[in-house]
Amino acid sequence: MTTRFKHGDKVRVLLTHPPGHRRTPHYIRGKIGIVEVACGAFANPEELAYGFDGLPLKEVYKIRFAQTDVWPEYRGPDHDTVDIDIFEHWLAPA
Amino acid sequence: MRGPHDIGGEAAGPVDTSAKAPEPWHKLITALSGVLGNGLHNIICTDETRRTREALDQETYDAGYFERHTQSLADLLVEKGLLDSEALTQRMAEIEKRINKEGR
Repeated sequence: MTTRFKHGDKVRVLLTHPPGHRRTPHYIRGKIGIVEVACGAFANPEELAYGFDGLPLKEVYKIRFAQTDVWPEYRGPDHDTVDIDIFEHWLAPA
Repeated sequence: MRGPHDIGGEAAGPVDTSAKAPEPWHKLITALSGVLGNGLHNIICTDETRRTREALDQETYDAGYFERHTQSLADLLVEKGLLDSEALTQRMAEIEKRINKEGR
């Protein structure tokens, strides 16, 4: 089964702030990262949170971000990264 | 809108690393959530409890881990029509009266 994104793909996290239960932290929205791995498909928690069945399943991707891209005033080493698991519908090709 | 939980990147002060023994009511609310939830009765699910927790006002949210778990569970059960909000308020008032009078 092929997934929409694969290891090495450059993706952008959508910059949107919909109301209600969301699993994408504010600080990573709008940022660009690289896909590490597809983590499998899961029922959508943003729908489960309202009593829906969360189907169809949605792929979760582990995305790696450079800390210097995430934090404007990052003072740690340039090579530092942060990995965040993000649902596919929050991602667009970059 | 940014919920009280969504604080990644914000300054949040030092982490309290003191070990605290759980109080009986902490265990009770954990057990209650477990019985109601995923894998047992499936009356509530984790995602629903997260939603109502994230919707708490800042003051309630900051009251503590078990305080917000309790309030958000009550809110969810009221929303589902399984708990009557007025009956709950009344019962809490009765208990508070008893505590003030009898210390229990």
